[in-house]
Amino acid sequence: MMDDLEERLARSMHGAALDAPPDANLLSQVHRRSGRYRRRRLAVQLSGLAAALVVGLPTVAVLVHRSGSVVPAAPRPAATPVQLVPGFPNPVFPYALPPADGMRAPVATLEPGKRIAFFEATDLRRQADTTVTVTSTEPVFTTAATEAPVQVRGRSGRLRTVDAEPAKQYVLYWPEGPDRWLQLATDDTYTREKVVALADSLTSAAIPVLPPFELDHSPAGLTPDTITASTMSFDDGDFSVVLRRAYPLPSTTGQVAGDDARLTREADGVRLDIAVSNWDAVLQITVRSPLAITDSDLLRFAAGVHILDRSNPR
Amino acid sequence: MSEPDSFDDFVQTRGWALLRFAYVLSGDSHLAEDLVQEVLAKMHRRWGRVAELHNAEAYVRKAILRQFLSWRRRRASTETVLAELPEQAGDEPQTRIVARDQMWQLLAGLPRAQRAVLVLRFYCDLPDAEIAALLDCGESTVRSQASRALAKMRTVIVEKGLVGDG
Repeated sequence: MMDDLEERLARSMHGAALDAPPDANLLSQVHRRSGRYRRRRLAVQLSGLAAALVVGLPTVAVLVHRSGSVVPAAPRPAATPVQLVPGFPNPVFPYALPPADGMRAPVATLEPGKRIAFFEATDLRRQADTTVTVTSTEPVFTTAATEAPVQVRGRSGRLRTVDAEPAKQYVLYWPEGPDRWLQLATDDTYTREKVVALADSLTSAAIPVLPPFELDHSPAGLTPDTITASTMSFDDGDFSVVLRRAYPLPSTTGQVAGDDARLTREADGVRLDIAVSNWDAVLQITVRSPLAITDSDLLRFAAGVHILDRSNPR
Repeated sequence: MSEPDSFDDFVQTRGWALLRFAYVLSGDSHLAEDLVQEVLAKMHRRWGRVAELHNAEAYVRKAILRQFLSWRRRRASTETVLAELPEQAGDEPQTRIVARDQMWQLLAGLPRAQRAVLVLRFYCDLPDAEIAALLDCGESTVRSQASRALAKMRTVIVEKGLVGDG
């Protein structure tokens, strides 16, 4: 039984609901947004032929004060000097599923401690999105799930089932070799037997991890640890290049090819922010201690960063 | 009610109901549109599976609710608490409108979880057991959240001498 306040509240809510925005354009707006998400999902899948968009970071870029003088910050004594070498060798993902109708070619990414390949389903009635992950240690899961032992690729693995809607999630994982664990994650579009069969069908491959930027130079001897649509980083993030959604620079120390930029040196490293106007984004290059880089090398590196249209600011 | 077969049918037939729900939940037109568009866009690709559920609309509403609570959590610092209320009015029809506006603003000042409980209870007419399931909490939590919210509203109504609607 509602009291007076509760009745007034209910009436108020039902009355106010009539002021809700109209749904006249809802369907088209949802389609537009859905399409945008799809493009983002597929952005990294675009072939390496995607045109490199040079975004105001020409071959010769000089960070200049508004007065015209070169940025004055002097490099600190180099603990581990970064040397730049030409180009960037793309890492590869070492496995592939056999091509199948209703499945796209895989997209490979690199995240700290793991290499990941995403196989997107286009026929969602018969196929399911499938992700294969390679790690050097046994994966640790936090989601509640049931587990069952299975034989996969001649090894003892485990099949986890996460009871979720609209589809149960399956994660099959097993030790593929010394210091190498594989996971295959998909959903109950497939039977459990099919999930194991998929894992059994993995073959050796060399799927290139497509970076978001084309680099004219890369840091010599540093191991890439992250390559996603927004980020390329090396040595646990000590050297990183990140495309971020636009934010105002608190001040500028100069410009890079017409774009405002800010170079800051702190005790723990150096950071160069470039407000890339035609991407509505900020390219952030950070080199953390114990690595050290001179201003001129940092600028030379920045000059060789070309944002590709498969990138996506974070 | 039978479920529309296709995603487009669903959006066209149930879109405004979802917008009304999101609007009452959030108290903001733009946020309501954003909530509904976001949830539907994310479900678009997997609609075949969602449509197979016993009650697809309930699933979508739950997603809107989760999205609202998640967004509001990130925006918690911007929440207003029992903001300025409209002045009282004398004549009958206007009094009702003012009373409605006052209720609306009192609701807007509540913490997100309390607001969600009141919307589910008094707008969606759901029993506490279903509200608890939607919010992943116990029925006792639902009751205490509702009780606190209503008590806070009563306190403000008394303190400010707000009008009834007749």
